[in-house]
Amino acid sequence: VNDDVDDGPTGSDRWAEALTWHVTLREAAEKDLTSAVGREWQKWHADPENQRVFDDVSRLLADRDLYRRCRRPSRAELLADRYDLSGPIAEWRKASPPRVAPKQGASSRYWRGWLSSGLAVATLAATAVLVMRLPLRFWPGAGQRGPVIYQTSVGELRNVHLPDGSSIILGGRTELSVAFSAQRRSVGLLRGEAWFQVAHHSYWPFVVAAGDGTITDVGTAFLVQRDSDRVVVTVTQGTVEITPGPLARSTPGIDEGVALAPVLSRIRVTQGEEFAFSDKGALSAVKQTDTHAATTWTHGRLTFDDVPLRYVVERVDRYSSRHIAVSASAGTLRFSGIVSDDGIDDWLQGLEKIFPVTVDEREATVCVHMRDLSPKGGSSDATCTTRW
Amino acid sequence: MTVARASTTEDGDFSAESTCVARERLEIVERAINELPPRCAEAFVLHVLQGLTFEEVGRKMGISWRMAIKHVSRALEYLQTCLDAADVTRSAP
Repeated sequence: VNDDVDDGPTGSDRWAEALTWHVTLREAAEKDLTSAVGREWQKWHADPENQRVFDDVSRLLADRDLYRRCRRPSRAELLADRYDLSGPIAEWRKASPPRVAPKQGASSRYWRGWLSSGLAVATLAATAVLVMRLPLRFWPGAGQRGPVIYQTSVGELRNVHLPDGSSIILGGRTELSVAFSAQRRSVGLLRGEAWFQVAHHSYWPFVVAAGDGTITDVGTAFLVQRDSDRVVVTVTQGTVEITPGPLARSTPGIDEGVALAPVLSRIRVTQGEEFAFSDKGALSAVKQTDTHAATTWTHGRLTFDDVPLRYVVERVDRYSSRHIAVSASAGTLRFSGIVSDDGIDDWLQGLEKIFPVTVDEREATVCVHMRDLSPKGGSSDATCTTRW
Repeated sequence: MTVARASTTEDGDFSAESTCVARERLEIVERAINELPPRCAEAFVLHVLQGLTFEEVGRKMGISWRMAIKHVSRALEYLQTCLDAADVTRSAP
């Protein structure tokens, strides 16, 4: 086997170089990158053409759903292979068109089946809907390809392995977009919750955008929870830097009774700490938290410690087969405890015992609202929030 | 679990158009993979789909890891060439 094919500086070499960089960066993340490799990387990706190819490689590697039904070629096909890698495949195909027209069916490298094909198209369709809706401002330097979208349905947990060696566990009804470029690894949490285990690389930052804020990894595992109007970040290992966004200001905090964090452009949150910022720009204090309790959702248990019921319900709803909503005043009650994803109905019934609330089902929605104590009836608190 | 519920929160407006874009993209990639030289396809499937390292791909195919990278990179380059030719990724808003 000739291992010393030297193409000279052709466009195809960039592709091999980009792929080699993927391996190098991944290894560097596992071991510890020497500054010499870092300098080399910066030099390589300073070239815009290299950058473009690296972005394309990243996107193609991340878009694994596209190749799910692909199969390996047969032994006979492998033996008949005449391509010598000396130029791009497109040029080789032009120069030597296949002698036998490719047959459908048996020679196809895809499993053909209408059911699975329909499912794949449905998945991709959902993906495409989200791609079109993504605000572009999330993706400086994300190239023109658009991000790869990962999503889960109600109650589903999904483990995603990214091409850089990082992995993400997605909670129920969660949507997440991934766009790797040479400048940075950008992830957007559009809704739901996720636990990030980041392969750290000082020259290739890992940045999570949620709400108006961004969370930048400094060697880390962390959880991000995107609620309807706020973002909660819990660091289980290492440190992150959080930029809560342009609206961040010194207004009453998200959690009443909690001191405000000083308004800084960047807030450092380390292992064992939690920080929240709201869409309106309010910031919580950086406070100590039980990181074990914060990760129990990956085993189907949601743990709460003195959390307003509206956030509890919003979160439980991501795992509930029936939609759950809460009224404005019931939503301010504070709940502590554990909710199992297979015991949501029991939990709902239990709410009536610990709080002055009524839980009733209207159409397909379970509504939690304040118990009507007035003798005339006609409760003023019967309106439940049905959309997050 | 109720998958149907999640889908009702999507607007219907985009779905017809996006299904076409998604199907087009899948079809282009499917066709491109079928057109790959078999050894490139082999390396591509082993690395990208089955998650083998380049050392493992090389060992399986009887080549060096460097050549394994070359095979996969040529395959990726070809997929992108086909997608660019069809212009589905660039035209996505």
